[in-house]
Amino acid sequence: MKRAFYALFLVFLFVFPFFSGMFALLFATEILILSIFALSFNLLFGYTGLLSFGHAAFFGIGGYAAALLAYHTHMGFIPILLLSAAVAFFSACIIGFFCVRRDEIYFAMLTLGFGMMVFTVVHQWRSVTGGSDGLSGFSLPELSLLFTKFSISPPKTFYFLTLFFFLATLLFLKRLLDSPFGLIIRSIRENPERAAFIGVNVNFYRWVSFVIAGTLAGVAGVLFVFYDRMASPSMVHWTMSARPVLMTILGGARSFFGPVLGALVFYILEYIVTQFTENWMIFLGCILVPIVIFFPDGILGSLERWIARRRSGE
Amino acid sequence: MTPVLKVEGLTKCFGDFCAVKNVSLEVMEEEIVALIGPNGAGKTTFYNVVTGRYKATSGRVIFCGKEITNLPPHRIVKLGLSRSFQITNIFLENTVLENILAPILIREGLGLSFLKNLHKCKKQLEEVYNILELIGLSDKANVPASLLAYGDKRAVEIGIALATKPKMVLLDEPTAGMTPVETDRMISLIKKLFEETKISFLITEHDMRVVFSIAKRIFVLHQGELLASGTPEEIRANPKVREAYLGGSVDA
Repeated sequence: MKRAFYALFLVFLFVFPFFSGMFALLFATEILILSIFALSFNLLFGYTGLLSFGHAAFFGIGGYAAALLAYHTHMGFIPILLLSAAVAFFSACIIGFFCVRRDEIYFAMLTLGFGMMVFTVVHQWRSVTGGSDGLSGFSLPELSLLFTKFSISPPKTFYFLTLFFFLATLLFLKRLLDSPFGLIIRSIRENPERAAFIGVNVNFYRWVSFVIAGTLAGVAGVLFVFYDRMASPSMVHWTMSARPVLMTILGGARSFFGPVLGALVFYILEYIVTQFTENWMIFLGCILVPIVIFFPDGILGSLERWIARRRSGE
Repeated sequence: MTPVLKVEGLTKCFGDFCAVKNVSLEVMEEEIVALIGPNGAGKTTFYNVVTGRYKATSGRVIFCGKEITNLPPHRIVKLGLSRSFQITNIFLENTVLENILAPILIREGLGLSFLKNLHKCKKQLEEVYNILELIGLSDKANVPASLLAYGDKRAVEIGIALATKPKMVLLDEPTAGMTPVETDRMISLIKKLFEETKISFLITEHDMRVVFSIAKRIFVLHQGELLASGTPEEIRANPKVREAYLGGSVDA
């Protein structure tokens, strides 16, 4: 039943661009990119038990690295992606090294602090980052595949490129969570103290998880910059860090697809509500509060629990 | 026989208050020893310093000839010194199987296997089932630990300690809060483990019935200091111990 549903959803993702309009296609692309971002966040939050308030730092670092490379070089899409992911990787290594030394609220504050530092650098270093104007006017890199070069400019091509990375992220995270590493980080989430007493170097595993999450967020940032055709400081602002938090809580942190559903609901709500009012955050708050109070497992988590209960009841 | 654990002049102070004062003791290979004392005697603090949870104020801890004073807990565990906790301290949302599997994977250095599926860790899973059989939870492998009865959670606590393949285990009040039936089950489990594995055990315990039925030697801690040590008979006859326990209960 569940399998059939996911298979149907997968088919839908593949055929969607052939009947959707331009707006819906761009809209869907953005949701997929933010889903990757939220999924990477949830590796830390839902599976390692660390709430980051600075995850946009890596989204932005990956994105700005890609924009700078596209602006100053003639590299193709794949080299730019790999290099930008490497920049996000090394940034996460350094920032994570300090953040994982504390957990709970202190971890959250450390990530928030680093996030603000990255924002300030991006915002003030005008000569490199373009300051508050951001970076734009670069030409989109070409994608070399099988000795052929593709332009990633057509929305349909870019949608499929994003879909590829979205599915790759899902597969990668699924494998990761079903691996020994996945069990160790879940054990840390459950009980960090006891984890140390079974021989786990807790800080080290948290650090590895932080670096994987940061690198994936960087990849999402690269896609976002080429989708938006600019890198802007809003990408690294703390409100961007709040997005995956909100999406994950909406969808359900303990459900594998929770962040994806959360991203979908977030965007659709934002779209509907902003047609009536500018103050869409008030509406988001009105939805978020009852979800946190009555359905702390999020939409998908609560749904899964309800189905499990019904099934065991019958 | 050589000592597995050797503690020399261990002291732990919190500000002006010293919870453990100049305690020295040895535990030999293949030995079950008890550490007893009234509430607040410093037993749990002693464990916490020995296993690296707290830093020692002074003194040394030597395990299998290696100094382990103030090493972080995960390194001490890797050297073969494991512990259980007085207040159940397990991975509640994980299944019983996962609770036992995690320490095995870490021990075997598989923690960073990112792409291997847990189901393919056949050798490690086999070991999990052996431990589950030993602690009597074979039929509950796939139950989330949070759903277990209290006595079963305590058994998981012991199973986790065993899964690190220790040379020695420190058990902190393994029967705390148990019914008499559960207590008997725990006593026979500890005896069985000792016979089958020959791991050394140091047990803190409130229940004198448990202590006298398991331990060959007993250390008595009182207000942070080592008050006495000896065989159960010697401890029972020791007037200082009787006084510390306000008479009575040592005979219980």
